[in-house]
Amino acid sequence: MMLRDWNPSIKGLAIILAVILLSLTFDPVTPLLALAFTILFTFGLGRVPWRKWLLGFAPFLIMGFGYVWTALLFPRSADPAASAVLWQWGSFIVIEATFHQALSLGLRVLIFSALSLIFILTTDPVRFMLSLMQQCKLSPKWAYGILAGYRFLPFFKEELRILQHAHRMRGVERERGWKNKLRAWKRYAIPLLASAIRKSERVAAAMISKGFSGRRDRTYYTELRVTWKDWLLLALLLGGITLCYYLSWKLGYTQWYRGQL
Amino acid sequence: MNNQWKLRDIIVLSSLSVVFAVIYLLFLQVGNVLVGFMGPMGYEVIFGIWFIVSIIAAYIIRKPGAAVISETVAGVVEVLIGNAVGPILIVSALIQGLGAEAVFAASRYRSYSTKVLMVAGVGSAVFSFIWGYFRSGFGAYSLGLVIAMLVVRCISGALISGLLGKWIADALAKTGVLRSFPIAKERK
Amino acid sequence: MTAGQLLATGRSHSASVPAGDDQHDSRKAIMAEGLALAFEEHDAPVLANIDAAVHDGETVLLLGPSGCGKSSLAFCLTGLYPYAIDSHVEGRVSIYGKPLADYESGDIAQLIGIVFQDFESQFCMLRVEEEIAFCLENWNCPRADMDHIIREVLDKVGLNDWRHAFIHELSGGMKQKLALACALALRTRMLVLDEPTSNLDPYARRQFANLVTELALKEGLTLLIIEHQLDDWIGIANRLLVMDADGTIVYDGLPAPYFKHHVAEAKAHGIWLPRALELQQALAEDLSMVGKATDVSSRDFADIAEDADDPPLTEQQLLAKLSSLPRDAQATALSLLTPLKTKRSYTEDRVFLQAHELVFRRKGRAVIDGVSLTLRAGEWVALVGPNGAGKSTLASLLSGLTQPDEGNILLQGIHLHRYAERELRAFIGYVFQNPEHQFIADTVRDELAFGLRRQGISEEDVQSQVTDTLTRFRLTKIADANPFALSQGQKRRLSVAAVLTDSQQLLMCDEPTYGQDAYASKQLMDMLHSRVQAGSAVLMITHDMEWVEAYADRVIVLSEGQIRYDGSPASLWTEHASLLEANHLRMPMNYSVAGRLRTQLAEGGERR
Repeated sequence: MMLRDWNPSIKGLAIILAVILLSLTFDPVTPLLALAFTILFTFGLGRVPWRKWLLGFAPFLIMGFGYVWTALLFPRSADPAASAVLWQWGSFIVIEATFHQALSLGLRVLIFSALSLIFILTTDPVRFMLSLMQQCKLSPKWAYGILAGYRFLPFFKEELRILQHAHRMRGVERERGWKNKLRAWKRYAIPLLASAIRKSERVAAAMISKGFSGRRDRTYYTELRVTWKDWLLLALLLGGITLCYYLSWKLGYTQWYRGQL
Repeated sequence: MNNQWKLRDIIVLSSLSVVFAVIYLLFLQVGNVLVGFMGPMGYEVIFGIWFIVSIIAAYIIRKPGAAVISETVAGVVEVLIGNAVGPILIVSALIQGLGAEAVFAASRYRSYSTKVLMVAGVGSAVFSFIWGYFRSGFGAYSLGLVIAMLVVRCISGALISGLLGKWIADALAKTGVLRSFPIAKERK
Repeated sequence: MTAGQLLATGRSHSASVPAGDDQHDSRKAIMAEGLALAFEEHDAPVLANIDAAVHDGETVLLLGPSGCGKSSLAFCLTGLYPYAIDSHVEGRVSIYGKPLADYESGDIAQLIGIVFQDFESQFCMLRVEEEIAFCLENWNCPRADMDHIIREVLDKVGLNDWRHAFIHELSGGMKQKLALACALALRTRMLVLDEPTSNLDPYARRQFANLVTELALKEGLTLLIIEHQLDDWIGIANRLLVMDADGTIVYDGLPAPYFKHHVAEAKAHGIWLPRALELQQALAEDLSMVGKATDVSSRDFADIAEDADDPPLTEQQLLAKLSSLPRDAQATALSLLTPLKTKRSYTEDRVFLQAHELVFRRKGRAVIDGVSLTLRAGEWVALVGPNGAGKSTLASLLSGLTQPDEGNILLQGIHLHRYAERELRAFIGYVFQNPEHQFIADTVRDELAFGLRRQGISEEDVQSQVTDTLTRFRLTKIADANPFALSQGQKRRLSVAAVLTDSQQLLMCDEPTYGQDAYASKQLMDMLHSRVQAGSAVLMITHDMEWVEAYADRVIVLSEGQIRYDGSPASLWTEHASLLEANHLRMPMNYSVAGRLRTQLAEGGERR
């Protein structure tokens, strides 16, 4: 339950810092250790349902795979003299250094998504916006304005489903060719966007009619505070990742980002 | 020019982002898997779709800051919706938006021609690429691939966000719903 | 108040106004003088030269043809124009004695609350409790008081059980109740209701109207009500404001005299008449005919046709009027109210579609649970039932948009899934609730041509057919306009015109009158009626039993995915009245008046 009560702003900050911290490495061991730690962190401190987590995580396995093979095929430096050759297939050579880098990039995709899932699966949208207002001093006009638009999500999903049916009833068949596909795309986009703009105008009027002036001095029904617990969780996450770096360095794997361009 | 953001404009930015998020869901489910098998290069081809909201919003609302703010709002909305890229997406969106904003600023917010919109798409592409280079570790790829990726991303930015964005916004203006926005006032 | 009593001024809000006693009368909740509104500086005005006032404690009903600017007027009177929405407003508006411009932003909200037509887009938070809290925060309500105020206002509108529910999961009627709760949380003295029930079904409409009436009485609220469908509101109105199509006020006075002297005018403007009045008029006509034929003393019928009294505007008043007639005339009226419709003799007893034991599951739950039905040529079938009964799902199964999990559907004796998509669409047409969903082209002309081009007709023929359709549906003037830019009524006509190619034998309509005014609804129904007479079949989902009574040959009551009734409307009203209440359906007024009259007659018989 702790992750759910973690102040969303501090949670977001912790995850952004963790991502930046992990962008500095090019070895496979650090992200692998960090991934293990993050999973431990997620399930140890938050009641996150496994199924949901896997559902969010799975697409990144495929994406990570894409990064791996691309890095194998098009490595920055594949000088066989620099490190041991792992395998060779015609003129295609994979050396150990390249393999490690490729693996690192793939794992990086996974650790980033695992970190993000901490936030996504344990943060209530309204609390996130409230926290941006109360901790990050985001103006209420922006915070409530964004929420008002976000609220339309289920409505637009339903509208899109109806549009698909309605267009089918009109005899729009499966489009072939990119030009027709583009037109089909526009046929969905225009009604949705038009209704989005109309609804936005209406909800803006409705909010003003409820006395919303956008002023910063307002009372809050839900007051979010930052306590030492929030900072402790941040320290725990970042400390854990630092520890991963330390372990990997002890094992002799750590490879830093060296400003390659 | 009135540079004050009205509540209505903010909600419009937010709801446009929601609409695109919903449309992405429809069209990119298959795309995502494809990208996995094609590697980062496959992603570059459709990368411009991420900037389309900010180009459309800037084109409709025509205010200094419209591009960067709308892209950031889109990032926040994506996080609210539960995009698995997570809170870092807000940072990415901010950087992308800055790219387009720089182009509009260079035109002193006076021109919203097709050319400017396409260049703005390229601006977002370049900025996002620099950020992505660091974050996704493009340093591990061969220089040729990196350059090819940059070129593809720029083309994608120009075509998908600039050209397609303008096409959509113009079609939207014809429906009459943008009557009270700067885009419609200019058309008169 | 008449226009002459007020000074017409052209000054805008920002102009400073010397405070006269008359202007600063705080017993006037709202006062407007010389009000004019335009969206663009040089556009034609939406409203022109409006003088109007709403007094504290009054209930005012604002009527006018669709698109005349009723809502705009309400928004001007509450300061939304020009402060929330870009527009050019001239003239003066004061609220509780203070000019609009003198209010701080946000303060008016504590005097006047608004309930909007589009219930989807008047909230900004996700959960019920959060939305009320948002209102409280807007006036800096101390945090310690919030909890009990939230409980209190939710209690008043009966939503306390939904305090933590997501707003988007509430029904339309509940959303409007939440909007009311918001106004209560803002502690307003006045409520503006901007067509709050025009997107609700009749059952929810009555519930909402009853709630508003009760709250207004309890809390002493002033009401300004805008609504097409008068029946639920006319009874509580003290005063009527009527606008014409040009955006000026043409009537300001008591309701009864308007409907006594201006009925023809109202009809010409497309203003919905109270159902009770329509029934009385129809009765008066029939009775005088019956009177001539049977030589009953004609004075009795003169009574109901045109007497010195006010015309009946509500069911109650109509009932009272009928009860005052002599007994034999009452009996005649009774039989005229509920005529025995002769069942239509089908030109051919041809079966179009047969569904057998359909089952459709969503997330493991059977949304459609063993439905069997038959649709025949020349038949108008109404599909009714409470929200969430599965009506739309059933229509989408029957039209082949979705596949059933069990059971089968035969279209002219052949399995539905054996048809090619194109053949299917040529046979079955579908009219969606929101006309915009069906638009796929950039102009009205192309919209109509789209379907024809698909059929592979030569371009010349396409053009001539389109021209013909444009004329038939009165769309010629706007042939090159964008479909999204049309008025509500035009959109509806276009969407139907585009769906109706001549080959379609079976038409599915999903609440086609939703959000439409009296005139547009009637037109649409007549259009469908002519198709039925030409031998097509119509399956119409609707919540409005008045339409069912007027048009349907057969009515199917669906509830929890099962058919509860399948038969003639008349026998549903008379023999299965318990089904109506259970499924949130409202009996047509002629039957409910007849029912009550009959009871009275039976009881009165003993008294006399």
